[in-house]
Amino acid sequence: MILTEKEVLQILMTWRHRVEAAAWVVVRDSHASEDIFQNVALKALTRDVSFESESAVLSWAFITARREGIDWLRRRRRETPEIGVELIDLMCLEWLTRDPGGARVEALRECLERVPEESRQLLRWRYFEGRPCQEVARMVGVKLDALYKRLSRLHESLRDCVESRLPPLPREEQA
Amino acid sequence: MMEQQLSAEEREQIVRFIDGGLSRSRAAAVLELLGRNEAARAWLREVAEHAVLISELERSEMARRGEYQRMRPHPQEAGALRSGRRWLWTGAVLAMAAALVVVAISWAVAWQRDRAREQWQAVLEHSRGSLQWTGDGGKVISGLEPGARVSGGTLQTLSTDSWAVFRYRDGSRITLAGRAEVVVADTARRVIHLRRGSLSADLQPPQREGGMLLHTPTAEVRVLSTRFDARADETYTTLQANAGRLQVRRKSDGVINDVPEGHRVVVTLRTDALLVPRRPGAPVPDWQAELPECVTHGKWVPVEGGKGRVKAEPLLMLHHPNGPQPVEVVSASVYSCQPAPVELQDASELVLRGRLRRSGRVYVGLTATFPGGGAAGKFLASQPVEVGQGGGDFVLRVPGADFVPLEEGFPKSVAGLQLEDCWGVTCQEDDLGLEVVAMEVHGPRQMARLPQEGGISPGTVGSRR
Repeated sequence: MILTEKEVLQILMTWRHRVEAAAWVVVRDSHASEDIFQNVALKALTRDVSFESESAVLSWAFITARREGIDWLRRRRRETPEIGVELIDLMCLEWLTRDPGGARVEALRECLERVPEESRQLLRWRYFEGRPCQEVARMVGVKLDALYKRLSRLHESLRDCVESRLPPLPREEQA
Repeated sequence: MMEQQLSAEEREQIVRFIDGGLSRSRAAAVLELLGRNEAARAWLREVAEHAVLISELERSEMARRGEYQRMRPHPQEAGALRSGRRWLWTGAVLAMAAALVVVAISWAVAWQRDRAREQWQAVLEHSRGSLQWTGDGGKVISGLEPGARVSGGTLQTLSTDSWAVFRYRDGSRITLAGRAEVVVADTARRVIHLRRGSLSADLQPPQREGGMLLHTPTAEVRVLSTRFDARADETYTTLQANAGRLQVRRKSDGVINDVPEGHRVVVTLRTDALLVPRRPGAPVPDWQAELPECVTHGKWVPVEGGKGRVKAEPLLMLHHPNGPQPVEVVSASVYSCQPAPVELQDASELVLRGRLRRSGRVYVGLTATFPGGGAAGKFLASQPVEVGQGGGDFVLRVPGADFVPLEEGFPKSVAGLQLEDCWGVTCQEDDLGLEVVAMEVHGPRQMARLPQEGGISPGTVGSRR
């Protein structure tokens, strides 16, 4: 049975952050990833494509996001992605084999809201404003190496915070 | 599935890799790690999810904070005085005296530094179109008013018709035209980072503090001139010295060269390209945008067996008289793909060829510079375009004389000015589905030579299905 537009959109919105994150792995620009997701959603509704299952929608969405990301890179930077297509597809597949992540996204949102302002500022500069680490290091007043360490620890603490808020996954699903 | 471990060092390497901060061999090692280690891929996915969600939270907060907020004084400004006061609490008289000397010296140094910083603090003089300011504290302000301070943060002009002029205390002025992003440093020296877009500078002669420093993604520029133009994106920078000279350092390999007055240089990341300034060629009356190379906004859609077309992409005009107005825009820049300036005349024609889903009004705009350099202004014209039911192709011809300046201070006519970029715009609510296949300027002589297409005469709009 063919999924309706409403059902397709519902699936895409549930998976939005992961599709955007897959695009981000290619373009490393959060605003571009958001645009790419919008294009993916638009294509799913306006192009002559139909889907029979959730997994069909998602496989198509991840592949389309990857392609859009590569197009974006070529147009804006005239570069090909550093990460090869096969590796991106493998990561997308791994994204697909996990739960939709609604609870996970909510947990991450809560954890981010608890991050101290100084750290939040660092994340804001790096990911929202897209500033290179060199520039963020200068603004924070630390050396580049120290900034990489700090950023890495921040991601780690966010990951730990999210995991502490979620019920444990069956062992074979853990990364 | 076997659980694989990832060390803290490996996690950090992946963070470095994402930033592009690794040598080629180390980047290859990270790619190899990502290929074989599922935990490494999980970590990269984790970081990507964090990046995306952080941005979403920031966007939500921006929307919640809403419009204009006054900036607080920069925290650094009060820092020197606070550090001085600590010395007042020493016990012994001698220590007190010594402390007072230190205070006096600190105060003098701080005063000098603040004075120098004040001199290089910029205020917004004038703007039009959508504008956004992000202070170093992360505070985001839309709708900046004239007089607002724009040092120590990022100023973005968000739409093709945006225009912003900021002024330093010494009277120097910087103009941003179209979509641009600059970081204005709050330092004791005039430092600007042009991350993308166009900037024209009209500066007072450099004082003993030294000239201005301009950073772009591909170049570092020591400004030893009073007037220059710069355009930049992630891959190239075009610099033109209009009065005085510029000293350019290519970031990719550190090669340095001077750009004498009246010369232009293009700085890319390619280290095999010569960094040689050249005089711009003589102005030409005609121009045809190479698509997609010249496109600065719009989505390139390749067409099998054909050249392809550029589909208008949405932009939000935040400060439209009727409230925020979503529009769809295709824009192309002359500078990114044409060595010689394109001269405009009243009898020139700007021609837009494309396709519409239905009939409606199409706006055509352009940014122009003065022949000697420097931003001249933005101009707009509009015409209703008729296409058949179900949509069709159109050719829109706008004579130079039809363009009206978007601001009172701009020249009254485009005659004698040079084209920097041009754009086609439709209102999103009209749902015209604008697609462009050509953007051209025809000089007066070429117009005379051109055959009339299907009975379309200059200054009219035609359509064919």
